[in-house]
Amino acid sequence: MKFEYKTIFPILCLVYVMNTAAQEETKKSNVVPFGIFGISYSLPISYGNNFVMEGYNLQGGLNLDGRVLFPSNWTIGGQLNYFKGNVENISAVGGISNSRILHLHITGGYSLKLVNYLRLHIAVGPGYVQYWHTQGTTRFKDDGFSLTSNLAISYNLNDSIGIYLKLDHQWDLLQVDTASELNGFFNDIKLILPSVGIALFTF
Amino acid sequence: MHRIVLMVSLSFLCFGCELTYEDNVRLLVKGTVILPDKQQVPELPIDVYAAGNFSGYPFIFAYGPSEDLDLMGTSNLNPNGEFNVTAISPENADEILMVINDQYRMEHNKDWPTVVFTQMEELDLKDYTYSIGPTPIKPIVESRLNIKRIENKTDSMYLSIRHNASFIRKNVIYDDGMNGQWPDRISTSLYPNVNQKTVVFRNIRHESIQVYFRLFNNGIKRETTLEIKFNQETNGYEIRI
Repeated sequence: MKFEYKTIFPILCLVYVMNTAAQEETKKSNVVPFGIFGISYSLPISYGNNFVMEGYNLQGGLNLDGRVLFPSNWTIGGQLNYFKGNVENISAVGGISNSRILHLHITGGYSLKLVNYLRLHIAVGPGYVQYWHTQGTTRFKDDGFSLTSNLAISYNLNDSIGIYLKLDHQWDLLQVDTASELNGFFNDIKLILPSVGIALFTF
Repeated sequence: MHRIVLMVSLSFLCFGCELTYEDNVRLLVKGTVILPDKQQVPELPIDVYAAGNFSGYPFIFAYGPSEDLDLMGTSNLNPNGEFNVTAISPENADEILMVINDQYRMEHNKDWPTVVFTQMEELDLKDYTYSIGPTPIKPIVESRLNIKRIENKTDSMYLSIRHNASFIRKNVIYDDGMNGQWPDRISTSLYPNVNQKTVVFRNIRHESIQVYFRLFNNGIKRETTLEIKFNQETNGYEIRI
């Protein structure tokens, strides 16, 4: 897992600039936002006995999500997560040099106001996962069903922007046809994705 | 014009120039090796390759006929002499090869030969698994050839000794054994009245060697090629001329 300054630095700059510009604004709103969009930098970590855990050095990636808040605090939304992994152990993975991993989920959850500017969001949902592998100049994929559950905290810096911390858990149920003794190793992948970024609010 | 565009488009669909792989498939290649005298199993590297010959795209010289060789998977021999190689699955390979102790690998062990298994794609694929039967592998050891003159002691003698200190090719379908291949060569000479000589070389243990000898004295008087088997009694190879 590699910390990529190139990715996170522009996000931090954007937060800083927008916060500075908003310092003159009066009071942060206490109105429940209609929608919250998160853009964050994630650091994926795999665990368990699977080919991602045994074979990859996972790189930092991008997490985009959006959720609509209903007056009852229930939410629906969607999220995209994208990151790359370099193969470090070919014996676990097969002859692959690197893979790009894309998750798409629809989510439903609940949003809870903790204090004035702080909100806790929880969500779960089904989705699709694709592992796009590179072998030399050739590409091929593994894909399947994915389940996500996540916990996020947003902190309003002003009415339209805030800091966003998120922890995703992804359970990927791939549909790889393989020897029965390797079935669980290739088809049951678990990932944790802590991420940090900015939240955008709409009213 | 549209017809030309259609033909070019179809040619791109019909002709390829690289190996491609199946989505959502992984293969397992498994087997065992048998070592002599319950010898400790070395951690030899094992690689599985896909090979393909491609015609290229017609009329585009940059994409002419080509060969492609890709690594499908890799592993090591475990202490029980077993191997399990997880591999990606080629769609258009002409041949699948497995190499034990590849001489071009960093992990190559010089005391063991490189063994290449060919035509793996012809094996039955059961449960996405290619199974290879038990395969005997012998180490490379220092061997001695004793050359003795019995009858002819006056002619000069030239010997070319072909042996195998490195490489075995094995077809997994048509078991052609591991004999009869001598990729390495050394030579020596015996001058008149030198009646005995010992040549030391590296060879796969107990494997036969091939010796070509030539007697000459103002021209070639005799030349012969012999296959010499390992002599258990002398613990080496022997040739009497």
